[in-house]
Amino acid sequence: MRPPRTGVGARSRCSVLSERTGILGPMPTGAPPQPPGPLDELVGADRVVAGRIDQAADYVVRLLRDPASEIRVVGGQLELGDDLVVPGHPDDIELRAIEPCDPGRVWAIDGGSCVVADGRAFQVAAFRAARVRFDRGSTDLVDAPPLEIRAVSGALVRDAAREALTDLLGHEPDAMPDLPRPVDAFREWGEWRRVLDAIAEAVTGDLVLVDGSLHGGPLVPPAVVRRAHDEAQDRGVSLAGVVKASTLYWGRNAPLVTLLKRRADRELGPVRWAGRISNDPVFGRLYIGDIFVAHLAPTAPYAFRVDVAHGPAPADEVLGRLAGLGSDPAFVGYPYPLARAHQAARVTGYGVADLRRAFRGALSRHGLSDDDIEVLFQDFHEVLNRS
Amino acid sequence: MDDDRDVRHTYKGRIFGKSVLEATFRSFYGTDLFLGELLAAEDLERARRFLFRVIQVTYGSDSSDPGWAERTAGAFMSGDAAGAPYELHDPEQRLYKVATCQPLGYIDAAGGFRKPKSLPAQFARVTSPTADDFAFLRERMGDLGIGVLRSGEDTIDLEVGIRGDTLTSHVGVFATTGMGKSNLMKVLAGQILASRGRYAILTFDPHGEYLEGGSGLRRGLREHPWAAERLRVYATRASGAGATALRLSLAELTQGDLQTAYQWSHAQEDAIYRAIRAFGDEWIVEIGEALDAADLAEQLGVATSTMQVLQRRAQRILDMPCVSRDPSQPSLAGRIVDELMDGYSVLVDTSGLSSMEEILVASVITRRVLDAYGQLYLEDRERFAALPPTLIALEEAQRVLSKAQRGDENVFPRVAREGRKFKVGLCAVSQQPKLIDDELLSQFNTFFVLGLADEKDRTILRGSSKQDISDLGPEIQTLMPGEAIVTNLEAPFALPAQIYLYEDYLKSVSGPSPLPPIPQDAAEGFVD
Repeated sequence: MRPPRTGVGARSRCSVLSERTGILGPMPTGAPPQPPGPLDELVGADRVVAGRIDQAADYVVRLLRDPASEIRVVGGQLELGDDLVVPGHPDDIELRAIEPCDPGRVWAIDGGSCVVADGRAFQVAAFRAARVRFDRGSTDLVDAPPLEIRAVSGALVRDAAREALTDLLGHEPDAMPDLPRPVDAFREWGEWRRVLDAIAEAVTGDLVLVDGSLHGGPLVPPAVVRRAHDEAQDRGVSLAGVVKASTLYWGRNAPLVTLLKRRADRELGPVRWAGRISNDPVFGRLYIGDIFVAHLAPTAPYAFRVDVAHGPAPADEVLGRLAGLGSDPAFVGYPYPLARAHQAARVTGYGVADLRRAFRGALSRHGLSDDDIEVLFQDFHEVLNRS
Repeated sequence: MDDDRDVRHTYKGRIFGKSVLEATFRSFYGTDLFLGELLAAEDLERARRFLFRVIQVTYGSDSSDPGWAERTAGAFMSGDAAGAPYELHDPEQRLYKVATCQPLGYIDAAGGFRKPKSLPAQFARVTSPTADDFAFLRERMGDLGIGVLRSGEDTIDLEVGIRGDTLTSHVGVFATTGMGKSNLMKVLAGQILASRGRYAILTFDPHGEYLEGGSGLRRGLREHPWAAERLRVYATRASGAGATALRLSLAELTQGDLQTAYQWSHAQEDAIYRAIRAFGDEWIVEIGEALDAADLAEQLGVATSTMQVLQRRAQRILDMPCVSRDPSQPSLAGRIVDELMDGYSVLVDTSGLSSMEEILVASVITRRVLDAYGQLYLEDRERFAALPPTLIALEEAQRVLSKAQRGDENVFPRVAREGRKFKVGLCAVSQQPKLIDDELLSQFNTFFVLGLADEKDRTILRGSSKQDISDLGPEIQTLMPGEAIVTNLEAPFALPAQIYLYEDYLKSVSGPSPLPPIPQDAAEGFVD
């Protein structure tokens, strides 16, 4: 005879299972939540292990106070290998006044990008590089091309990279960079393509500004930078790069730009200044110009690393032109054309959302079911964060 | 190049919201937008042309940071403090203006004007309006033009005015000193004068400025081309040629006139009743000429101090040159009424009188006008029908139209309430409309609102205006002299107007045609 499906017997079996196995354990009853232990401290609404904030602060302070006796350029660049390290101390760097001057005609290039879909094994990236031209006090050209969309996976990345670098170099690349984030590589290559185009269009006396260092970084071969430099020199065009997130350090970890800014604030007050970092002869062998830390407006809250390529105009003049461009009150101390290029290139949050919606639509048109699309885009972090 | 400038001047921006009763549009940074500016938006989707009035203008930027503008201003200031002035590059590309507009209505495909009940197309193109956009207004603007349509600081070639037959539903002219009340009144009176009897106006002129123009190069009604034929002037003092000395009979003064002109305490009112009972129509003379106020007070059974007040006021009235105690001297009030009925404009120059005496004179004459017109209404409808709509204009009208002056004996509230039926309208000129009884104010169908600084004045007008002017507070506050908002039942919305300068207006008025010249040989022919 089959046991009854409902009734006392069924209920008692469930109870016994729970009690007998004890998997869940007894429900806590009546015991209040424990207050933070003596080793924890409340920070806002969360608990932090006691003393950890102070320990971290102490570490940073010691790091900044006297970290080392050398200046380090981190991140190197493709084909360069290790970080560049030269002897030096922030207090020894000479800070010289910059005299702002008429910036003349200036080109500025910046890139923007986003990931439309990340399937781990593949990515769909969107990117573009924009350029602006600033002449006689106003922007007379804003060239923001449509977004390029690329779907890339392991093999595709290498093919696409080879194609892009061949275009930039004018020949097949000798070595291929590692591409942990292909979207960054596409964006940077696009930027350098636009730099080359801008140099080609520029006339003698123009200044071409690059967002970032003139040393390419790990994704851009030095030969690309050299090509840009050579073409700029041939055309009598000045070339400079402004780095928002500098990789210049004092020792291993102390940010050099910040340290110099603080020193200048104390010693000089609100003035324009520049300090040449590339004093060691090793820079001359490896780089196409000089590296400065520059404060381009008297009340600018930031200083920037500025790379100035050797070119038709002396570095002081280029810095003066950059100071002339740093007088916009919305971007005090940052060359205004680069700010405009950034705005022209950027992909806003709304833009990303629109791209993702359009891509899902395209996937659907190409036969992927809604469920599959959902799985493709799902991110369990969202579930965790929502719950 | 000129075409580009024209396009830029005309093209104002694009709509981006926001409701049926409030539209917003984005404009260029360099576009000058003014409160009260009239604009048009083309709704191609529905073949409608929407009309708007700018009620607020603000700045906008494409920055997603709401604090961008404040921070940038701070950066400017830091630069100034450091002796390194900064410069905002490409302002036209980074900044813009946002105008909030009051939708006025739309012109449909058939050319008819409709009140705003739907949204214009999103992102519709906004332009300056043309005179054609307001062509529908022409037929509503009436025959008494007082200015031209104003759009912000510009004008549109469309005359703004009122219909003469609406004068009887009362006119309010409200403005702070110096904003153009007198000029407007002269233009309005001039237009009535030029109507050649179609309408009539009785103007009480306390400062002589309507007649003579006031100071400097200002000109008055006396210089109006039709003045010689159609203007009759009375003066309470010697006023030179062309003015008749005003004469009113003491017997005409009623207790109501006295109550309107003076503030009386209950004790004083009681004393007047007792005096009337004792002396009849001669009570003012008896009190004014009594040798001993105390004796008279005792005789009438009132306090001496009360009698002293009555006596002072009675003496002032008896001393007024325009008041005759001789019953054989006929009052000219009747003649004034007749002239008004015949379509003449009558100006009573009350300069030299005190405020109370001026009200007394105005009260007597106004009462006569209202009674005469009312009598014809009751007794002779045919003749009544031929009467010209007649406007009685009084300066500082809050003196007789306040809540405190609400008594049944006050003739001015009576005109406001009943005058329309008898073809008599009241033109209340005031710089303090807040003091006017709002119930009376609601009887006024036409408002000319010039610059008014006091929020309370604007508030009271909002409640009584025949068009919604609740959004126009800032505009009214910023009106320049001669700029006005006109509201009445005929206009589809509160009309911004630039009032004609009276001196300019005079140049446009053609007076009576001169007699044709006598033919040279006419006389000879007779001789032959």
